[in-house]
Amino acid sequence: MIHRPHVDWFALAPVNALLAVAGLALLTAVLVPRPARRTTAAALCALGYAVAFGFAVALYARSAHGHGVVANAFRRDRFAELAQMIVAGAGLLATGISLRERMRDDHVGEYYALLAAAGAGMAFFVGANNLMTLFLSLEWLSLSLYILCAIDRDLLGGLEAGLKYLIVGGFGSAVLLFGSALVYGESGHLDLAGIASANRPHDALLLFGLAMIISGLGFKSSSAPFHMWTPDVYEGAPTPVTAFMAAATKTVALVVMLRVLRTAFPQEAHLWTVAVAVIAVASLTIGNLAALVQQNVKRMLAYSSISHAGFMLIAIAANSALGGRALLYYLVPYAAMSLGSFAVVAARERELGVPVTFDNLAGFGWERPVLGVAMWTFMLGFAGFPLTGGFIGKFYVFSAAYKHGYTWLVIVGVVATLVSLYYYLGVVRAMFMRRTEDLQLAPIGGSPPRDSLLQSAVVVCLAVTVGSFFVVQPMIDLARHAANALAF
Amino acid sequence: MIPGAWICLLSPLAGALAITLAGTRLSRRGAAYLSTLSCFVAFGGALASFAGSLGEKPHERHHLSTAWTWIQGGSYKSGLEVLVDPLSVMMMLIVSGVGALIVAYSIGYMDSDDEERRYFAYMSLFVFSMLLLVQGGNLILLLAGWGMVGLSSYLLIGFWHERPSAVAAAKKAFVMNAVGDATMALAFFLTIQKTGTLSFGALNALHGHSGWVVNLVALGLLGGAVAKSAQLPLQTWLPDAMEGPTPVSALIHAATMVTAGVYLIVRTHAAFELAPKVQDLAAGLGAATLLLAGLIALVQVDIKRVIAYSTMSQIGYMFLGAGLGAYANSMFHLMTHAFFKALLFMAAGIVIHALAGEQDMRRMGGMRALMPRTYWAFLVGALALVGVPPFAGFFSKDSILAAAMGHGWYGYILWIAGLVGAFLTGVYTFRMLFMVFWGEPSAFAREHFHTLKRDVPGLALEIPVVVLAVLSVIGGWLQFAPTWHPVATWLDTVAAPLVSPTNWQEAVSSVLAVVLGLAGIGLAWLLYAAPRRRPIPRTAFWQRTLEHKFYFDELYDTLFYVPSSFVARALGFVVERPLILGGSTELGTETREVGGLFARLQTGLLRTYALAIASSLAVLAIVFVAVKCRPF
Amino acid sequence: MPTLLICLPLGAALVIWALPLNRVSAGSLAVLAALAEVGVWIQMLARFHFSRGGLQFPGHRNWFRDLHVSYHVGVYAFSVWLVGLTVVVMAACIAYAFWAGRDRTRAYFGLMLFLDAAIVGVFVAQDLLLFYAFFEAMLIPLYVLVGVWGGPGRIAATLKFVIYTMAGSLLMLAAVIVYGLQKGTFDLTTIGTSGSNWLFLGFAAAFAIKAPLFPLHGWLPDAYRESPPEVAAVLSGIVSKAATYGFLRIAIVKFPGPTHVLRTPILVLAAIGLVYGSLLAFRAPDLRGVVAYSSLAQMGLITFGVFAVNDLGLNGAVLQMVNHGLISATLFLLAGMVERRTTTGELTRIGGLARGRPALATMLMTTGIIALAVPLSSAFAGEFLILAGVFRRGWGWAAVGAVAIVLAAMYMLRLISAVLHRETGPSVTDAALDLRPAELGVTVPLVACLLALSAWPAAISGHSFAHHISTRSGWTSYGPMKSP
Repeated sequence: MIHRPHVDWFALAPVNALLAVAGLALLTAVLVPRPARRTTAAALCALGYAVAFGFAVALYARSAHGHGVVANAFRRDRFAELAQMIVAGAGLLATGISLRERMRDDHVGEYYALLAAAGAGMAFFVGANNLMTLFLSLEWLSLSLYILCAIDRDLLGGLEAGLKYLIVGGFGSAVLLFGSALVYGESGHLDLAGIASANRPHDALLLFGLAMIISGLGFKSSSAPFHMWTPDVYEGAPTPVTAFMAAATKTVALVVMLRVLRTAFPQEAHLWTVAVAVIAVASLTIGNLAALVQQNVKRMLAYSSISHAGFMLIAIAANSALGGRALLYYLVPYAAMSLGSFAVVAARERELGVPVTFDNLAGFGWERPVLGVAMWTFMLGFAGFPLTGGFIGKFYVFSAAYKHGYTWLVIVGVVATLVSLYYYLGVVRAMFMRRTEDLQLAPIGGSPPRDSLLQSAVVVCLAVTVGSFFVVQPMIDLARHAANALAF
Repeated sequence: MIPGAWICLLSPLAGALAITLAGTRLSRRGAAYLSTLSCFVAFGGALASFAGSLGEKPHERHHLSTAWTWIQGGSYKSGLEVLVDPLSVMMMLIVSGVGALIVAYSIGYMDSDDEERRYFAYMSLFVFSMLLLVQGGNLILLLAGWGMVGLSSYLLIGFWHERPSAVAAAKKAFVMNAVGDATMALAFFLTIQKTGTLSFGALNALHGHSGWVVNLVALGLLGGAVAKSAQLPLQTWLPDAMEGPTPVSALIHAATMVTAGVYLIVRTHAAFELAPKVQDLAAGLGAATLLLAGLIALVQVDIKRVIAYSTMSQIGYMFLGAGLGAYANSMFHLMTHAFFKALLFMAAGIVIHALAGEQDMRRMGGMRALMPRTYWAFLVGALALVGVPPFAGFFSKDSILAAAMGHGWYGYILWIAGLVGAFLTGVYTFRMLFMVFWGEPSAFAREHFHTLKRDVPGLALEIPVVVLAVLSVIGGWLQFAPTWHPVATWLDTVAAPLVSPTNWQEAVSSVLAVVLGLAGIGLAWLLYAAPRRRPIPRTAFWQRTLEHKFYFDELYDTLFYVPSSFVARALGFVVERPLILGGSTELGTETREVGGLFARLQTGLLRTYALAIASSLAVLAIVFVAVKCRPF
Repeated sequence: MPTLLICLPLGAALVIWALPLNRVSAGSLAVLAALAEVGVWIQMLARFHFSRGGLQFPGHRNWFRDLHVSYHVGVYAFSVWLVGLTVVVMAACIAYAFWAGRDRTRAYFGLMLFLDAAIVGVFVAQDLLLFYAFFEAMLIPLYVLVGVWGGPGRIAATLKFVIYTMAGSLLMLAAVIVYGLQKGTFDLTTIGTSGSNWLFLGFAAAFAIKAPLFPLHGWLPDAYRESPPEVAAVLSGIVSKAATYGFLRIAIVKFPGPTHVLRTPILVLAAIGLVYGSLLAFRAPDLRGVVAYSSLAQMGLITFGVFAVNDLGLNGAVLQMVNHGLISATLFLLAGMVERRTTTGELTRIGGLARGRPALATMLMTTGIIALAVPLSSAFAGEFLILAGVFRRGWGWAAVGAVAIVLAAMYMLRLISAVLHRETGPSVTDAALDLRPAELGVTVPLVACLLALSAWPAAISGHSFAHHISTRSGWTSYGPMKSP
């Protein structure tokens, strides 16, 4: 008879809540009549994320001392909980953004079910404590996302995006899996702490494994040179999904990367810090330079998300408590800004019915002041201007890099920021400085659809972006406790 | 007497401000009267302080009254303070007195002009500035007044600002004076560095510093002086300045401002006495200028320009005197010159006024018949200028020449120059007089004149002329070198003379000067007025040289203006556009191109993506292994 | 009190953005806020102890502890003057904008007030990161103000401006981080001095671009030409002063060693800028061009004063900052008023404006004359002190300065005569009236300030640094920086 481990259900509550919601949302597809279906499913999904958020907060409060649960397969610590909060918040906002998305009604149930499921996968991913659960949860969230990208069969771009994501993502997962296998074969352990403590005679295999794990996670966090799927997928996928991916997927991938590298490979720190630093530089360079020439706003934002992956990797490369704080702090305004900006793009899309480019943004800022000002703020935040959390985030990241002795990395980051100004300000220019007359095509059908949910979601993002500039101390305290869970 | 000094200083300023602020609420006439009044009040204040000083023992005649700290930089500070001592009182009297007369004269002269208010505001401003110059209690206030008179002279020269020539002349005057200001400023920087203060006492404090320090300070001051007083080499602006209205020429470019250089030398004589070479240079420049100006004046045809050149040459005399250390004599000449030169200008102004602004002497002639009173006034001025006894010029000019004899061989050279100058003065002055007033009235003159019927249009024009005529006669009797010299004693406490000519030196130079002056008059008569005219001897080269004023303008254009404007233009085309404005744009476009390359890597083909991942993964792994276990 | 100075305009801006005000009420609210700001400043001036020196009206709140960054504000004597310059000029510019009528009123005035707050913040911030934040925050409204309400070439101009300045600022950010982490605090009043040339250069780069100093002024002509006149006035009048203030407050105080080492190169750049700017101003084809390049020259001069690093130079620099702020603001506003009447700023097409327009003539003449530093003007006092100060560092510098004074006379007189004098230009019609009362109401106070300063320059030059300290010379005398 198999020994059944003790299960700390409370620790799994956020995950389970989302899973349950996913199931219910799926049921709406059959039980709820068509007209009410969309709202019901959305409400359920939102509810699930809200509950998950609540649980995460509660857990954060009660997990001062992190420890493994469920036979040490899952880790209950503040690091995970903070990440879960971010994910849950992102999911909640994503739900709000999704509601008015132009989408055939026959898949709404599935859509929200998958949205919740992806969230559940992420919530589990950030807590994963051994290579097995790590890979499982990764596949879990990835599969949900693959389908989410392609859920709208009329949207050809969506189909293409889904397919590409599926295939390349499969490749990425395979790399991660193979890497895990190598590491296991070398160290004889699956759980991260064990890998660290295991004695490893000759570790060429382990190094191969490490490289593969870094690549796999780098792939998920869309950092160069594993980024190439990102622009196509971000551009093709339904915008709310893109928003969710940009905010949540990147968050969890980076968080997990830090946890894995930190917990499982402390001896190889001198290797992976450099490797991560190099990847960061690559991401900054490629992301920013390629973004300069984009015409499609979603694509531009995709590249910008690559470059931000670079910034946050700098924090990981610092491999210090300060670095951990920097990463966790940075993720909050970053998630808010990317959700918000994609939401604004979505709003414009729904007005025009065509992909949003710099040209057809003209005059948008004056037509929809709230969204315009919000977008302006998000762009400033991405560019690291003061009065936004982006500024403090960059400040922390650079500080961490400097403390770790990577002054050259600070310089690279600074130059990258300078380059990024061009396209971020380009958005502001397009929205405010060009007259509507320059607009090539007229908005379709009458007045733009008022979408209070999306508006309020954007406003929330705005509040977070700006607020995180003023109330730094509390957020830093949260981040500190979370980061300390990694025993820096 | 201190209140008097302050009243004297501030009332013209108050007048200027009142006129400016009142604007159209004040009638033109009202503005004119207000301005005149303010100047007379100033004169009253000057008299008050004069009376006050008279009542004191000579060595007590030195009062400094500070209003507040005007400028301060750390330890260095200078107050807004007026100085009341014999020198400043004398200048106050001259400036406010002559100023008041000329402003009064302007009431009539500017009657027709529709921008009278502006004119009188500027005039009051000028009187204020000039008084600030002479009353300023420290070097920086002196410099302040120095610049302010330059400013008001700019405003007044360019008063008729539709005339491009007037605007150009005004700019020229200002810029050349700015050069002088700059050299003075440099001298002051040096003074601050060495002494930490800018009080007049600081110059004495320079004593004991190394030779080049005092030389540089003195040179800087001299630069300011020659610029303001239109001496070589910065003399070219004065003739052009005649573009301004005639009363302006009388006040600024004859009586007061242009003589400020002399005042400066006397005021800062301490510095010059520490640097005797520079002082000699000043005297030499004066001598050179008086010859040069006298020669040029021989061929001028514009009546005002002739007087302008004579002003230059007379100031040359004053520089000569001041450079030799005969301070009292120069100041005395400054005073008398103020009288008769103002008189000449105003008389000339009446003629010009009568001929509707015509200034070319060749179109005049015979005015004696038409306007006899003006003729007499002009004659008095001319005789005073030539230095014929008993007119004012005789007493003042000759004592300067006498002083020259007491200064060794160098002095003798200067002395000869001065005598030649006296001869030239006679020639050009009476050439002018004969051309304008003698002979038959020209058709032009007649035809303009009978529109105007009267000799002198209005008392406003007449009274000041009369007053000045009287002064030009008796003004010189204040001091007769051999017997009595109140001016000298009055100024002794401020600036004790370095030379005291003996009586026979006085006698010799006086006689020679008068003889030569009369000879000059005679020559002029032969050439321009005698019944049987001698043909005027001309050699083309000299004619051209003199008419081009020895080519100074051309020289300065090619030396300074042309290069600087060329450099400016070149910088614009060679540096600014391509490098500084273009550079950044270049960089931006190139960055975007690089970005284009990266974007092109994004083929959209899955195999590319997989390849990228795989290859970079391989690199990563191999590097790891290479670093960690060094198999090779 | 500094906090109030920051929050007042910010709050007004938020109100204007939030409430659906109409053109008039939004504008008048903005003007009121700006005037209230002036009032607050006067209060501060009245209650400031100049004799005591040191930091006064301090305000301190924790921002984030682990890196020792805090919200710390306060004013030194010289900051008081610069704050005063800011609030006065901003009030004038906002009032002018209200009168000239800008479209999208609420956005416009909100941004102007926001800018007001940011600039004041720069002058009162006593924490490095806070200073940097305000320094950057100035760009946010400026980018839009120029880009939306500017002239035809506005978009390129504003982009160039922002990228240029950010290039410098980001180097400064790197320097700030390194410096602060090395010293373990970001508090300007307590942070120790550093000897690193690289850090110094990081700060200097930012300030040299913002000022701008000679080779780094690529953004200047376009930005000054294309912005709305009042924004150009703010740009050249006060925003540029943030840079020289930075030199004064951070560069030379916190980096005495590097200042000493790198003084000569910086003075050389300043000297080049001084002459170069004057020459280009002398050739500039249009009204704003002249003012723009002249302010390039003026910034060179102020840098002279700062890097003379002795009491004469520093006092002169502060005085000249205020002077030039008032002067160039007035000149740009006047340029705008002229352009309204003639639809062009080209000097060849305007002229003879003095005839029948006494108010305009008087204003432009007065300002121009003060600008060319005619003795007895406050600008003269400032330049005199600066040059006297730099003279101690070497006679050559002062000689260059003297040359520049002559050049200044040349280009300013050229400007005056080209606009006011000579025969009437082709673009000048009788429809071009004299200044309206509103325009006078905007410019007269500025000119009045200049005249008052001319009567008593020592008001600033004698009250910028605690006297007992500034009586000694050399950078060591730079005591007022240490908090009491």
